[in-house]
Amino acid sequence: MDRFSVFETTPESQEIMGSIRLRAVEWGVFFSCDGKRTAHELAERFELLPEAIQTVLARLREVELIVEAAMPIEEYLARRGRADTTDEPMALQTFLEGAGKEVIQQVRRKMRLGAVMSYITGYSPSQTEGQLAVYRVFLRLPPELLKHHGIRSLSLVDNSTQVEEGELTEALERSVRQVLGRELPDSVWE
Amino acid sequence: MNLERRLKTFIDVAVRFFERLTSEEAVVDSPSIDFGERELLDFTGVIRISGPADGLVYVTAPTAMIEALLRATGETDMRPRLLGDFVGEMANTISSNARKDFGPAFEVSVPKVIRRGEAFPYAFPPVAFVLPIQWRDFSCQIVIAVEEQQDGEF
Repeated sequence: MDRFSVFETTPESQEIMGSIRLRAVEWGVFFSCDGKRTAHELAERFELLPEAIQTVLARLREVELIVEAAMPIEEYLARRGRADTTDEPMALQTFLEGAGKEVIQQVRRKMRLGAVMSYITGYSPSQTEGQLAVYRVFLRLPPELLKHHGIRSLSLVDNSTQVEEGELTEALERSVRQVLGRELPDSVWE
Repeated sequence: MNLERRLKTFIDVAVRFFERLTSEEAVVDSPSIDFGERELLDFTGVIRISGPADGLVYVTAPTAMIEALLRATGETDMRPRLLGDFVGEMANTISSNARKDFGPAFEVSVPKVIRRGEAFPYAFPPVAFVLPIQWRDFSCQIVIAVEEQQDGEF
């Protein structure tokens, strides 16, 4: 079990639930095991240290309320997201540098520029000022980075451009932070 | 006053210019941000601003639109020099209002008029806010291209 492990309830859990006793935090974690949340996310949700969440999950597995869910490599890489992976085994690093490049390409997030623009204009008193605030944000981006992504012009209305996570999206996040003093929300990602 | 509100002055004045002159509404179309080369239309009136933000604001319009605007004011002389003067007057109206609104931290130049094919007198800042303005069936553009010299409120 590691921090990217996900858990789902067992088919027997409905029957077992009525006959066992658990601590409140254990029940809480049990009801949050939806086959999607990682051990790391569960720890954050219940404000538990890594060792504590491991103990809770071990207890839930012991009483057969949950099992660890298996997942394909694409899903594992998506869950890894942008987490620090410097301690990963050499086999995975080798995979990522070789055949895994294509898989990574498939799971890399995309930022919706239209959603970024809407978020910025939402903090302005008028539409025009909002659009000019968007202009200020883009003013701070290196033009060569935009050109590298083939962006020569951006409509400020109904924009459907998507940009793959990387140097440009990081620059955009930084610029929004500088101009608005706020972080971009998760909803700007596809 | 923040930079967005100051730059909005240019747009408001330009839209009002049409309405005051012709009593007909001008409509602001969807703006864009341009990162590359920009094409100028037949006549362009350009103002240079400097201070906390340095750059250019210009209005660029096709001949047919300027002729229609002049006709709407009762003018019948359509010589190119007069068309250029008209665009210069439009840019002058924008710059006069901007001088009042921007305050002493900014310098706003007198406008220069450029005809299509003439050399543009300034270097283009790399990122421009382009706002098309529709009047009757014609379209011109207000272009704001600045580079911020400092952060925050001005």
